[in-house]
Amino acid sequence: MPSPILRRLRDLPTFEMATGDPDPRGWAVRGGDGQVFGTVTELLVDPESQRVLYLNVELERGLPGVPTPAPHAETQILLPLGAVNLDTEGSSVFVTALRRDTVGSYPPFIDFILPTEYEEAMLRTLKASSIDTKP
Amino acid sequence: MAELRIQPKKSAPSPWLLVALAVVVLAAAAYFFLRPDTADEPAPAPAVTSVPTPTDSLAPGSPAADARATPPPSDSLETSPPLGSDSPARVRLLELAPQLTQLADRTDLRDDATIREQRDNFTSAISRLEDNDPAASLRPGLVAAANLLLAVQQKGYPNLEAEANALTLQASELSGRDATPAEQTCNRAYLAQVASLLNTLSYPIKDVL
Repeated sequence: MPSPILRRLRDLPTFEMATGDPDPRGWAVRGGDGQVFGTVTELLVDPESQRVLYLNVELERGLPGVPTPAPHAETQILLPLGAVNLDTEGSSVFVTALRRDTVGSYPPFIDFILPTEYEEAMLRTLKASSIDTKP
Repeated sequence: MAELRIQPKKSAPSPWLLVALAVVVLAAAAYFFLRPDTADEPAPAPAVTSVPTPTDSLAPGSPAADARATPPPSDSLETSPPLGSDSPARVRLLELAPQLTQLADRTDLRDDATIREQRDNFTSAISRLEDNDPAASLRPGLVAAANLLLAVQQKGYPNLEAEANALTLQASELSGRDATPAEQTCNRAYLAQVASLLNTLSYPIKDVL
């Protein structure tokens, strides 16, 4: 099965969130302990299957184990949509496999490139071999 | 496990369509605010029997002069014949007037600007009838009564919309005269509808289903 071509939703002016589906951009990202450790800033989508595959999350500054980013830069991670739960009433994204003190071991998303190794590292950290991130 | 989908954006309506829609809305609003209020229409002018004829150059005996000398048929005049003080419709309307103004003055209704305006129109039309003004027509009072009831209905009786609208339509079709048996029948039927709706609207809003 070929890997999907990922695009940021903001780069697809002819697409929008499907009617009835929430737009989690701007929502707080909470770990298994309920503590906030980041904010969803963008959605990575597969225009072919018309599905959101990853949430682009900007981490809060000062998290344990997360190197302080350069000034005017932010540490970002990608979360597979299959690894999160959406709380539409509370406008929050819950990731039970991560916490504020463990997110430092999660691979940061540095560039808009998604090599296979990166995906493997993500899944390994999430300990979610059963989570299917493929569309 | 969450799932989010995206969809192609729906095509936006043409900007020209929006412009046309805006023009239509503006035209409707202008019509609504600028149209002459039927309840405010001036009383018909008195008969023009004593208007002096200006001197002109028409030769006596010419066809044009003959045409001028012939008075127009009476039914082409816009003015209504004066109402007699014993006109049944006038009497009935004056009987209903206190109840109508009392309704408009009810605590839950009197602060509404539209009701206040229609009440003023109605009392203005009624005062002309009460003064036995020979030039006063019945029509402004009849129409104002319907408009007042419509305003009250719109304030708090949504279920009576059909009745109020029908009454307004019925009022607009009245001649304003009460001379012939046909006109008296129409006026009687109309005033019976006014009394019926007035009676219903006299109940508190919560009691009218």
